[in-house]
Amino acid sequence: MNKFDFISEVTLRTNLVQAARYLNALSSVSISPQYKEDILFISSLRKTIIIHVAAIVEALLLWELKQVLRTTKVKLLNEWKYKDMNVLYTISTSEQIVAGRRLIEKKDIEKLDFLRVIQLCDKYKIIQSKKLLEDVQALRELRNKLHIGGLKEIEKEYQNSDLEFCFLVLEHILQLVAKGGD
Amino acid sequence: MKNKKSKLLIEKSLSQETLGDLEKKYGVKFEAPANTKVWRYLEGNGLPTLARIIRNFG
Repeated sequence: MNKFDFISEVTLRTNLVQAARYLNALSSVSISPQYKEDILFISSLRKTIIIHVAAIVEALLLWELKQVLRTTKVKLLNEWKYKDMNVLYTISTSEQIVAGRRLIEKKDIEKLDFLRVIQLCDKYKIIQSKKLLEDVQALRELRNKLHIGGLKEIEKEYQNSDLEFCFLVLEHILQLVAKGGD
Repeated sequence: MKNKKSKLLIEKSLSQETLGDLEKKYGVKFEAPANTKVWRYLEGNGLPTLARIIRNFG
Protein backbone atom coordinates (compact mmCIF):
# COMPACT_ATOMS: atom_id res chain seq x y z
CA MET A 1 0.00 0.00 0.00
CA ASN A 2 2.69 2.50 -0.84
CA LYS A 3 1.61 2.85 -4.45
CA PHE A 4 -1.20 5.32 -4.11
CA ASP A 5 -0.18 6.56 -7.56
CA PHE A 6 -3.76 7.45 -8.42
CA ILE A 7 -3.59 10.20 -5.75
CA SER A 8 -1.79 13.09 -7.43
CA GLU A 9 -1.67 15.30 -4.32
CA VAL A 10 1.72 14.62 -2.68
CA THR A 11 0.75 15.47 0.92
CA LEU A 12 -2.31 13.21 0.87
CA ARG A 13 -0.41 10.41 -0.86
CA THR A 14 2.40 10.59 1.72
CA ASN A 15 -0.07 10.59 4.62
CA LEU A 16 -1.91 7.62 3.13
CA VAL A 17 1.33 5.68 2.72
CA GLN A 18 2.28 6.39 6.33
CA ALA A 19 -1.16 5.31 7.57
CA ALA A 20 -0.91 2.15 5.46
CA ARG A 21 2.53 1.31 6.86
CA TYR A 22 1.26 1.77 10.39
CA LEU A 23 -1.76 -0.39 9.58
CA ASN A 24 0.49 -3.14 8.26
CA ALA A 25 2.72 -3.07 11.34
CA LEU A 26 -0.18 -3.00 13.82
CA SER A 27 -1.94 -5.85 12.04
CA SER A 28 1.20 -7.97 12.13
CA VAL A 29 1.67 -7.28 15.84
CA SER A 30 -2.00 -8.16 16.48
CA ILE A 31 -1.43 -11.71 15.19
CA SER A 32 2.08 -12.23 16.57
CA PRO A 33 2.35 -14.95 19.25
CA GLN A 34 4.13 -12.50 21.54
CA TYR A 35 0.88 -10.89 22.73
CA LYS A 36 -1.66 -13.64 22.08
CA GLU A 37 -2.37 -14.15 25.82
CA ASP A 38 -3.09 -10.45 26.35
CA ILE A 39 -6.66 -10.43 25.02
CA LEU A 40 -7.50 -6.88 26.11
CA PHE A 41 -4.34 -5.50 24.48
CA ILE A 42 -5.00 -7.35 21.21
CA SER A 43 -8.62 -6.17 21.19
CA SER A 44 -7.52 -2.54 21.72
CA LEU A 45 -4.92 -2.95 19.00
CA ARG A 46 -7.64 -4.17 16.62
CA LYS A 47 -9.75 -1.14 17.53
CA THR A 48 -6.79 1.11 16.66
CA ILE A 49 -6.45 -0.70 13.33
CA ILE A 50 -10.15 -0.08 12.61
CA ILE A 51 -9.65 3.64 13.30
CA HIS A 52 -6.76 3.73 10.82
CA VAL A 53 -8.73 1.84 8.16
CA ALA A 54 -11.62 4.28 8.58
CA ALA A 55 -9.23 7.24 8.28
CA ILE A 56 -7.84 5.86 5.01
CA VAL A 57 -11.32 5.15 3.60
CA GLU A 58 -12.53 8.63 4.60
CA ALA A 59 -9.49 10.26 2.94
CA LEU A 60 -9.92 8.23 -0.26
CA LEU A 61 -13.62 9.10 -0.54
CA LEU A 62 -12.98 12.78 0.14
CA TRP A 63 -10.32 12.75 -2.56
CA GLU A 64 -12.74 11.18 -5.03
CA LEU A 65 -15.45 13.65 -4.06
CA LYS A 66 -13.06 16.54 -4.74
CA GLN A 67 -12.20 15.07 -8.14
CA VAL A 68 -15.88 14.85 -9.07
CA LEU A 69 -17.06 18.21 -7.68
CA ARG A 70 -13.98 20.33 -8.49
CA THR A 71 -15.00 22.96 -5.96
CA THR A 72 -13.88 24.19 -2.53
CA LYS A 73 -17.42 24.70 -1.17
CA VAL A 74 -20.12 22.10 -1.25
CA LYS A 75 -23.88 22.32 -0.67
CA LEU A 76 -24.99 20.02 2.12
CA LEU A 77 -28.04 17.80 1.92
CA ASN A 78 -31.11 19.21 3.65
CA GLU A 79 -29.05 21.28 6.10
CA TRP A 80 -30.24 24.87 6.39
CA LYS A 81 -28.90 28.14 7.72
CA TYR A 82 -31.68 30.35 9.14
CA LYS A 83 -31.46 34.17 8.70
CA ASP A 84 -33.53 37.28 9.52
CA MET A 85 -35.75 35.42 11.95
CA ASN A 86 -38.83 37.22 13.30
CA VAL A 87 -40.96 36.00 16.17
CA LEU A 88 -44.61 35.96 15.05
CA TYR A 89 -46.12 34.53 18.19
CA THR A 90 -44.79 33.33 21.56
CA ILE A 91 -46.53 30.18 22.72
CA SER A 92 -44.42 29.71 25.86
CA THR A 93 -40.91 30.42 27.17
CA SER A 94 -39.70 27.39 25.23
CA GLU A 95 -41.87 27.54 22.09
CA GLN A 96 -42.34 30.28 19.44
CA ILE A 97 -43.80 30.62 15.97
CA VAL A 98 -41.27 32.34 13.71
CA ALA A 99 -40.74 33.45 10.11
CA GLY A 100 -37.53 34.07 8.21
CA ARG A 101 -35.27 33.08 5.34
CA ARG A 102 -33.38 29.84 5.12
CA LEU A 103 -30.47 29.04 2.85
CA ILE A 104 -29.04 25.64 2.12
CA GLU A 105 -25.78 25.31 4.06
CA LYS A 106 -22.49 25.38 2.17
CA LYS A 107 -19.39 23.93 3.74
CA ASP A 108 -15.68 23.95 2.98
CA ILE A 109 -15.07 20.59 1.31
CA GLU A 110 -11.89 20.08 3.38
CA LYS A 111 -13.92 20.26 6.59
CA LEU A 112 -16.53 17.63 5.82
CA ASP A 113 -16.91 14.90 8.41
CA PHE A 114 -17.06 11.21 7.50
CA LEU A 115 -20.88 11.04 7.61
CA ARG A 116 -21.27 13.96 5.20
CA VAL A 117 -18.57 12.55 2.91
CA ILE A 118 -20.54 9.29 2.69
CA GLN A 119 -23.85 11.11 2.08
CA LEU A 120 -22.31 13.19 -0.71
CA CYS A 121 -20.67 10.11 -2.25
CA ASP A 122 -24.17 8.65 -2.40
CA LYS A 123 -25.72 11.84 -3.82
CA TYR A 124 -23.10 12.24 -6.57
CA LYS A 125 -23.14 8.48 -7.38
CA ILE A 126 -19.50 8.02 -6.44
CA ILE A 127 -20.62 4.91 -4.57
CA GLN A 128 -23.49 3.32 -6.48
CA SER A 129 -23.66 0.00 -4.67
CA LYS A 130 -26.14 0.14 -1.74
CA LYS A 131 -24.28 -2.72 -0.08
CA LEU A 132 -20.98 -0.83 -0.22
CA LEU A 133 -22.66 2.31 1.14
CA GLU A 134 -24.04 0.30 4.06
CA ASP A 135 -20.65 -1.26 4.69
CA VAL A 136 -18.89 2.13 4.69
CA GLN A 137 -21.52 3.39 7.16
CA ALA A 138 -20.90 0.32 9.33
CA LEU A 139 -17.15 1.05 9.24
CA ARG A 140 -17.84 4.65 10.29
CA GLU A 141 -19.99 3.43 13.18
CA LEU A 142 -17.24 1.03 14.28
CA ARG A 143 -14.75 3.93 14.09
CA ASN A 144 -17.06 6.08 16.23
CA LYS A 145 -16.70 3.64 19.11
CA LEU A 146 -13.45 5.46 19.89
CA HIS A 147 -15.75 7.93 21.73
CA ILE A 148 -16.13 5.68 24.76
CA GLY A 149 -18.02 8.33 26.75
CA GLY A 150 -21.12 7.83 24.62
CA LEU A 151 -21.19 4.03 24.53
CA LYS A 152 -24.29 2.41 26.04
CA GLU A 153 -22.65 -1.01 26.40
CA ILE A 154 -19.29 -2.26 27.63
CA GLU A 155 -16.88 -2.36 24.69
CA LYS A 156 -16.89 -5.69 22.91
CA GLU A 157 -13.81 -7.75 22.29
CA TYR A 158 -12.69 -7.06 18.71
CA GLN A 159 -11.88 -10.10 16.57
CA ASN A 160 -9.99 -10.78 13.35
CA SER A 161 -13.40 -11.06 11.65
CA ASP A 162 -14.04 -7.37 12.51
CA LEU A 163 -10.71 -6.49 10.89
CA GLU A 164 -11.49 -8.58 7.84
CA PHE A 165 -14.78 -6.73 7.38
CA CYS A 166 -12.95 -3.37 7.55
CA PHE A 167 -10.22 -4.54 5.14
CA LEU A 168 -12.88 -5.69 2.65
CA VAL A 169 -14.44 -2.22 2.73
CA LEU A 170 -10.99 -0.67 2.26
CA GLU A 171 -10.25 -3.00 -0.66
CA HIS A 172 -13.49 -2.02 -2.43
CA ILE A 173 -12.88 1.69 -1.88
CA LEU A 174 -9.26 1.43 -3.06
CA GLN A 175 -10.43 -0.28 -6.26
CA LEU A 176 -13.22 2.27 -6.73
CA VAL A 177 -10.97 5.32 -6.29
CA ALA A 178 -8.09 3.82 -8.30
CA LYS A 179 -10.36 3.45 -11.31
CA GLY A 180 -12.06 6.81 -10.66
CA GLY A 181 -15.60 5.98 -9.53
CA ASP A 182 -18.10 3.14 -9.06
CA MET B 1 25.85 4.44 7.36
CA LYS B 2 23.29 3.55 10.04
CA ASN B 3 21.02 6.35 8.82
CA LYS B 4 21.39 5.20 5.23
CA LYS B 5 20.35 1.65 6.25
CA SER B 6 17.25 2.78 8.14
CA LYS B 7 16.29 5.03 5.20
CA LEU B 8 16.50 2.01 2.90
CA LEU B 9 14.26 0.03 5.27
CA ILE B 10 11.65 2.79 5.34
CA GLU B 11 11.61 3.01 1.55
CA LYS B 12 11.09 -0.74 1.06
CA SER B 13 7.70 -1.38 -0.50
CA LEU B 14 5.11 -2.99 1.75
CA SER B 15 4.77 -6.07 -0.42
CA GLN B 16 8.51 -6.69 0.05
CA GLU B 17 8.55 -6.08 3.81
CA THR B 18 9.52 -9.12 5.92
CA LEU B 19 8.91 -10.19 9.50
CA GLY B 20 12.60 -9.53 10.08
CA ASP B 21 12.05 -5.88 9.11
CA LEU B 22 9.23 -5.59 11.66
CA GLU B 23 11.31 -7.31 14.34
CA LYS B 24 14.09 -4.79 13.78
CA LYS B 25 11.77 -1.80 13.78
CA TYR B 26 9.37 -2.71 16.58
CA GLY B 27 11.04 -5.53 18.55
CA VAL B 28 8.08 -7.85 17.97
CA LYS B 29 8.76 -11.59 17.84
CA PHE B 30 7.13 -13.89 15.28
CA GLU B 31 7.11 -17.69 15.14
CA ALA B 32 8.16 -17.72 11.50
CA PRO B 33 11.44 -17.23 9.62
CA ALA B 34 12.67 -13.63 9.48
CA ASN B 35 12.62 -13.65 5.67
CA THR B 36 8.87 -14.41 5.55
CA LYS B 37 7.01 -11.70 3.67
CA VAL B 38 4.60 -9.85 5.98
CA TRP B 39 1.66 -10.34 3.58
CA ARG B 40 2.23 -14.10 3.57
CA TYR B 41 2.21 -14.10 7.37
CA LEU B 42 -1.02 -12.07 7.42
CA GLU B 43 -2.57 -14.41 4.83
CA GLY B 44 -1.77 -17.48 6.91
CA ASN B 45 -2.99 -15.97 10.17
CA GLY B 46 -6.55 -14.91 9.48
CA LEU B 47 -6.06 -11.63 7.61
CA PRO B 48 -6.19 -12.66 3.93
CA THR B 49 -7.88 -9.46 2.74
CA LEU B 50 -5.15 -7.21 4.11
CA ALA B 51 -2.59 -9.60 2.56
CA ARG B 52 -4.35 -9.20 -0.81
CA ILE B 53 -4.45 -5.40 -0.47
CA ILE B 54 -0.70 -5.32 0.24
CA ARG B 55 0.02 -7.60 -2.73
CA ASN B 56 -2.08 -5.45 -5.08
CA PHE B 57 -1.28 -1.98 -3.77
CA GLY B 58 2.00 -2.43 -1.91
